[in-house]
Amino acid sequence: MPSGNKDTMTNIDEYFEKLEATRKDSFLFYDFMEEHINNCMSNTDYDSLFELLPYWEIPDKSPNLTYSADAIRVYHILQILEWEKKYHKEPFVKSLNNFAELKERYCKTVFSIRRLEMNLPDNLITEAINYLFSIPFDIYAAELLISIEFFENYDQIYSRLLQHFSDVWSLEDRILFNSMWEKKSDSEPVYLTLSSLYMEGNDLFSAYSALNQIKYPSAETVEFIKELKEVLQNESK
Amino acid sequence: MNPNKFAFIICTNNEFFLHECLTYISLLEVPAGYEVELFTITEAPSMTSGYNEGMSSTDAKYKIYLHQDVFVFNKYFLYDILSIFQSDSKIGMIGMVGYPYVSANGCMWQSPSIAGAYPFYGSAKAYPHADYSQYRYNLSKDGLSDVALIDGLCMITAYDLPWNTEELTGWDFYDAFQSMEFLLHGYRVVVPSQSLPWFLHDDGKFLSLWDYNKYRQLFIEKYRPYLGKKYSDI
Repeated sequence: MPSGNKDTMTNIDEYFEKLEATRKDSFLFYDFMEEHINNCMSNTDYDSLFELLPYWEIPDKSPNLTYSADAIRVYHILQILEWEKKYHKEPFVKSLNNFAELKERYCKTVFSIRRLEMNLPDNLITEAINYLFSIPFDIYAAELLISIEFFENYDQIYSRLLQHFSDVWSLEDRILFNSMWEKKSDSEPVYLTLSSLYMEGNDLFSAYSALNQIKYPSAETVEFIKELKEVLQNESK
Repeated sequence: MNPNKFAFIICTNNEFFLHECLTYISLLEVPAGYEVELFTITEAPSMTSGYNEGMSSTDAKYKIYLHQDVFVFNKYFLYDILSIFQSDSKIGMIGMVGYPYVSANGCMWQSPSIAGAYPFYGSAKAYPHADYSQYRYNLSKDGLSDVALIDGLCMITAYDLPWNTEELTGWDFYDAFQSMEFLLHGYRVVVPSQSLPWFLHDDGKFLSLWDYNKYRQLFIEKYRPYLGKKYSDI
């Protein structure tokens, strides 16, 4: 991607000449990618989608894909699918028939997460959540999209997803997802949510430990930590 | 021309992007006594022809030319652009991202920008995250900047100048050409200072520049005397 920094591109003509030289291969690859995805989808052969990965990950094999948002989105989907395969989750692309539907699922998922982030009115949040419920949307898809798309308010996104998916995602997954949140934010809600998840699993000690990671707990949280400490002390007697 | 009307004009080739774009528009507060029209243009042969079609379809004084992948977060957006236009009748066009200088090589993104679009390019992520619902722009407090060129993600006009369909037959450089025409007609082109970005441009973080160079050459040829110059020198 061209940079806005003057120093990074001194010869713009040379830059566009190089870009032009990659035009044919790039457009050919796009057609190939689309056809390959259409075939995989129509045959529900999701594993064969991974054959596209080297085009992004091996420099010599890569056509110039940086000028196609679609191509980049496909790469992100492949990354999601890798995680889902590793952790035995339903693939994010399940039940899709073609490339067009795949692009739509990706974008609508991002839009839905953004509605949570921006705290849109209830009816629009409900529409977004219903969409996410209607597709295979697990913590790996959520994590990858939150990490690579335009999002900033992590506390809002993670807390709301954990709230809405409490009956859908396993406790184990929700704790893992919370730890992903922790990598992006060390705010009080991260540890309050983590603590409540541990309590849901009757692990009071871990719940207590989570609360103690809050750097500047509110007065209410300080009180709660005290109470939990007493409970743990009484249990150990 | 109806001075109490806004028109959103959007060229679109993607139903679900348009739907989301319109969802955010539907949440905007509309100033009392004003109305809002929407024009979505599908299958336009070029951005300029689509925008000309939209422009001639409405009598709204204030026209908001918007990309389909732009989502408006500032719910008082219409109030704010009105306050800017009403502050000076010489303000002809407002953008969300602008450039005080006409880049010497024609590429606007190669000159220093005044950026307001979400996210603030290159800046650290704000924390704790601001509450958008509490955000209000205040012209006298926050101010605005004059620029030479604005980015096409959103171009808001108070006057009609025809879009250049003769030379611009694709999807690039319509923004730079139109900015120059507004300046050369004696109007100011401005970008409001945004302590929180008013928009998100969800373009996948990548630009499609395949035909950019062709129109860059046209721009250089047409506006050669102004290359490298500041808005105030045009």
